[in-house]
Amino acid sequence: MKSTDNDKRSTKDGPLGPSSSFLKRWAFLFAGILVIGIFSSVIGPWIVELPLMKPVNQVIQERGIEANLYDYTEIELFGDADFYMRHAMNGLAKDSSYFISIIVGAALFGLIVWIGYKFILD
Amino acid sequence: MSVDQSSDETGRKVQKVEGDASEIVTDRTETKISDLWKKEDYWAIWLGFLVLLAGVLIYFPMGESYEYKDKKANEIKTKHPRVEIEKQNSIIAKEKEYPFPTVAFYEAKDKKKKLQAKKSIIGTTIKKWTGKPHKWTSNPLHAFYMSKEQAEAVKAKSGVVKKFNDANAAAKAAHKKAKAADAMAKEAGYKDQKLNKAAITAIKDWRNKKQVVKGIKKRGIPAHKPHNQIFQLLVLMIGMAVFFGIGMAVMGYSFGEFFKGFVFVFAIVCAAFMMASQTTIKGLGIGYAAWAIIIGMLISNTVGTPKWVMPAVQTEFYIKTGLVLLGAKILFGKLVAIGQPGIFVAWVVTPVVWLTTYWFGQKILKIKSKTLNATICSDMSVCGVSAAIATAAACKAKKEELTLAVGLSLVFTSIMMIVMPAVINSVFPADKVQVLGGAWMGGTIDATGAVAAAGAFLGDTALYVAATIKMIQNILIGVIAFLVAIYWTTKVEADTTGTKVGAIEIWHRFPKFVIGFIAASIIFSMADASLGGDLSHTVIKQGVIKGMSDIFRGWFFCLAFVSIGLATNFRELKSHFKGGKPFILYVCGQTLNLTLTLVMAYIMFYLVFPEILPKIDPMFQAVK
Repeated sequence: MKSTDNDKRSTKDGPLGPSSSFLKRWAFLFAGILVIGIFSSVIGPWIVELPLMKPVNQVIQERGIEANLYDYTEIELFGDADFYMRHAMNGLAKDSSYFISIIVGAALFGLIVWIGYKFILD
Repeated sequence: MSVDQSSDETGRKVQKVEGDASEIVTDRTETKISDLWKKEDYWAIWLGFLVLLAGVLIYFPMGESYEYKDKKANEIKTKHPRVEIEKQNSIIAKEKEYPFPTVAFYEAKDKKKKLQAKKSIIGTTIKKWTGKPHKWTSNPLHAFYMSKEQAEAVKAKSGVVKKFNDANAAAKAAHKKAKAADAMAKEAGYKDQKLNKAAITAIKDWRNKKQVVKGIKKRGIPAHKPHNQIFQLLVLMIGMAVFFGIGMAVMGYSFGEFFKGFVFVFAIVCAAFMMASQTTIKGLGIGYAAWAIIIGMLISNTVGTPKWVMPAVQTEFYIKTGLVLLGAKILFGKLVAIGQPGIFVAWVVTPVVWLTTYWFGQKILKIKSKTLNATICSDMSVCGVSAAIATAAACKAKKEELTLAVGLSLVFTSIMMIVMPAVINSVFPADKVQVLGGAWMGGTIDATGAVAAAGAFLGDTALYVAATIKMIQNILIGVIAFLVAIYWTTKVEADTTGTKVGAIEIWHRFPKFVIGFIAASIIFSMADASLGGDLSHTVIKQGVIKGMSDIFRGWFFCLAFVSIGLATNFRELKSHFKGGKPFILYVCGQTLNLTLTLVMAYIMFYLVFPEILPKIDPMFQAVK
């Protein structure tokens, strides 16, 4: 990623942040920490109790789902899904038409990318 | 227009374009052998592969046997995965002849699933020394330390043991019932539809109750165990500082200065993981990336990032190393997991949405930064944070642009995780809720954790379909990053400099870490295919990936996001959000994504490949 003016300023002139007084800067920091604390202990619990959120949150808690993770390999249920699907699809005849359709799918992807590269991205 | 080229004092080639007062500085350094140890991209490859190699050496031999600690019996036992897999597969083959999955089928499947190399003694030791802060509810210190007394008090207060015992008893009773119903159906040769239906319902009930027990056991009980993680985190911090510090030193930076700054960055990383481990925050779907950026930005924009920390604020180094590790989990074998419909849903819709949204951003919204546009497109059309990181690194986007893309994704993910299941439940016909609903969510919700939550809310089949579509879509991370890197080196950068680039120049400019990323993906996909699904599950997915690369990748990405936060200025971030264009771009792109995915999923699952449906949801079909 490109370096920004910010990086240059920090390495040359020392700390970042607004050029306000020492007290003001620390007061802002503590205010920020307070806001985070209020969010996690008051606002967050209130949100998860909202009628639309509550049922989903209940499932998350009951099944121990890591709803805030980003990678599927970190989530246990994705392992279950992979396992289930592999067994479910085992009985499906993997004849030539099966592989042809997969190749067609991949070829279609390639075609879309090529059209995009040639005509859209220009 | 003529172009005059000369080298500046740093060795970079400076192009002076006639008629243009400005000098365009481009990284047109010639490729040298010393790049292999002097360039960050190569170091990311070496370090990434070092972690993967360690994983392979530790976990691959465990396909034959591994030792683990049986907690109930409190003794060391040995598992023989290859032998066990053969045994359970013969049971499954026999049970598959019946019209629905029987109790014996599930039991055999569960036994195979439990064969996990990461559960070996070495695997659990690695986890212990590299683990992230623990889950907590009201006292943040419990993320790092909990005494025996405190654990007992929290346990008693939360009633987790009673909850577990009740759920376990209910699951055992349901298992007994399912076995009895299954036996009755079997006695009738599985020809009595009434008995079949009763058995299916009983088995489904048992599986649901088993999932609840698993959930409490996995997330509830360990959170209430006494622990002291402070020493482990200190050791891990030193280990990681040395790991990256060696690379930094060879590249010409001061090891000591890097180490000093790393202590601060690592402390913020721990704080970000701590925030993400809070029970409510988990439920809201706010992950470590958001907290790392928030805490980093809070510091940099108030008291300011101390100057001595800056040598360890190495966003790209951490990201690129993490991306090489990410490559190992992109297994092309997943393509066949859900067959043809999954490929069409994930592989046709995604590029169409990406290209259309990018075009919309450039031509209609006239977003100035192409890198911001590309990062948001990948973020929204592929799979959120991981795709945004990969694309941002491939097209050399600014830190603020990645922050913006990730922020948008996190906000919309939390909303879609709640709204989509509600819409599907109330609008979709009952017979389309599971498969169509699952495919729709899997193809559109960005973050995988949110996909799991929304899918599980609708039911197991929806969860499995959603998760599989997402996994197939995940394969695109590498492909998109590669294509974006090609596009940037051949077109965008060429347009900037006004010169046509040849093959050699493309190689000079190409972000080399992408090669490490793709190579890791190809190598592990080949290993996955040669080992076969079950053994690969034991040693690759539940060994090298979950027991090694995932652990470190999480730490590396968090280090990167903290670095982004520590170097990001609110004012600069605000300037990228001018006119709310990124927001409009995300909303319009996501609307197109939602529409196309729904249409494509319907066409593929219900019109073109309807024979897949009974395979995906045999119970549902049998009940029907």
